[in-house]
Amino acid sequence: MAQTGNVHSLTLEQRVDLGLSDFKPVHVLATQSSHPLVTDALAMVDPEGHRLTLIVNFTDRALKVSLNGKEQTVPANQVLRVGPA
Amino acid sequence: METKSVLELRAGPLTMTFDASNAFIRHIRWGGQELVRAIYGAVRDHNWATIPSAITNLKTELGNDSFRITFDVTCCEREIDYFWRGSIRGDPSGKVTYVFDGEARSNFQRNRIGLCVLHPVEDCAGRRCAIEHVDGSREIGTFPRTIWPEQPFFDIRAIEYSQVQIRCEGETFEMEDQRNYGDASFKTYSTPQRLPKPAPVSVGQRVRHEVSVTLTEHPRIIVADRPKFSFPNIGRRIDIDLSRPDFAKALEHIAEPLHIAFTYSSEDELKKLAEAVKRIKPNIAVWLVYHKNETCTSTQSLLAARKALGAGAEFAGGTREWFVDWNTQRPPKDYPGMLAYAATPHIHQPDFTTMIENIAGLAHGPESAKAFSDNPVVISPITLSGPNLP
Repeated sequence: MAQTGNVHSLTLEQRVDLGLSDFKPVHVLATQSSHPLVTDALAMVDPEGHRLTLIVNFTDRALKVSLNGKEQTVPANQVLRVGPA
Repeated sequence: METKSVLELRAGPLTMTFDASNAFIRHIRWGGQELVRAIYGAVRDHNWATIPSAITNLKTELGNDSFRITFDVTCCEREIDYFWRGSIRGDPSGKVTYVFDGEARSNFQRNRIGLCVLHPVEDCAGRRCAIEHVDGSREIGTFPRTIWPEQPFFDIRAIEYSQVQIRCEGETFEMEDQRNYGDASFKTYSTPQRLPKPAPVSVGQRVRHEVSVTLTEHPRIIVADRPKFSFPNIGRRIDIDLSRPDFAKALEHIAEPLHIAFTYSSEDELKKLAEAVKRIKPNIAVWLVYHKNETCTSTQSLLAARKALGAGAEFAGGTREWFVDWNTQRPPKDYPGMLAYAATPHIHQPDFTTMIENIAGLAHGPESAKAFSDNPVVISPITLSGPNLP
């Protein structure tokens, strides 16, 4: 939704830990997944320009994912943090 | 070996045809999906005329899941004499490589020489794609849904969409929307239009292009290099019930900026809320204003709330339910606030798979809202556990 550039804000009915307590995103980088029903990513940038990418594995098996050409292994049904870098 | 004019080919799971009359690879398909409309070589003169090609020395090696084709092409007309050798290879892994290796045999003026790739409009228009530029940077974009007057993408080295990656080596490529000329395709071509045309070609001058089409069986994620959008504020929402005499208690002792949601039905309720805000001074980021008798908050109702509550926070009006309410009761262009609606990935089915499938669908609300409003949306609340209408 953020990648549409048309969302001012959102609220969540349930408390969700996005794992962002140590990272303050100010921008979203557009992403594209070749297999969006299997894996996808949220890529963010903080005020200092550091990047953090969260890769989610929607399947119940470990998954090898190429992130900008670099292979990452994402555990089953988990979110993998790549960065901040 | 001489063969019939159109060959049926297979490269692993990919199928396609080769037209020996013009050296076109056509309709690269994966199952029922057409990934690439065509790959072909062209020599075009200073008037954009395509020089007729004569194909000779065709050799084919056709396997059950692979192939190799080589041929010679001469393009001769008036002062133009151009020769290129083509080779096309299909691998069992699902990779197709088309090489154009050409050499001028005369001096002439050209607008374009080399390989072109056509992308089918039916499958590509409106589809997201990832572009790798010639400098290695990455861009995420979208094939235009309606006919685009300019080039959608420039300085292309590779394009990815669906589960296919197309690499274009040998020159700088860019894309045009061929629907401008009545064709049902986008075309990726070499020699950017910004360069001077026609360009002189001298005897012996060579062009070598290589286009590869690779089916991406293992998941690939491309992240654009540059920040494009602000990260939305993830707010905390509090709903207050103005019919309760103690409604103001919910506003007390809160430090973090809040999204305050309320439904009102009278000016008197607004007045009481304004008095409570003046007394408590809560930290308010956004007022989410609903009216008891309206599916979506009207301009008049939102203006009344703004007048009562004053400046200092942003205002959104809308529906406690779904995007459909805004889409069927679209706001005027001068609507005095942001557009609020709720969202959940499983209104119709509460299982995990449905939720994952519908993640992509959630982006269509804010995208579609651009068509009828210049104001951004506030999505509140997002409910993950299933519909729970307030």
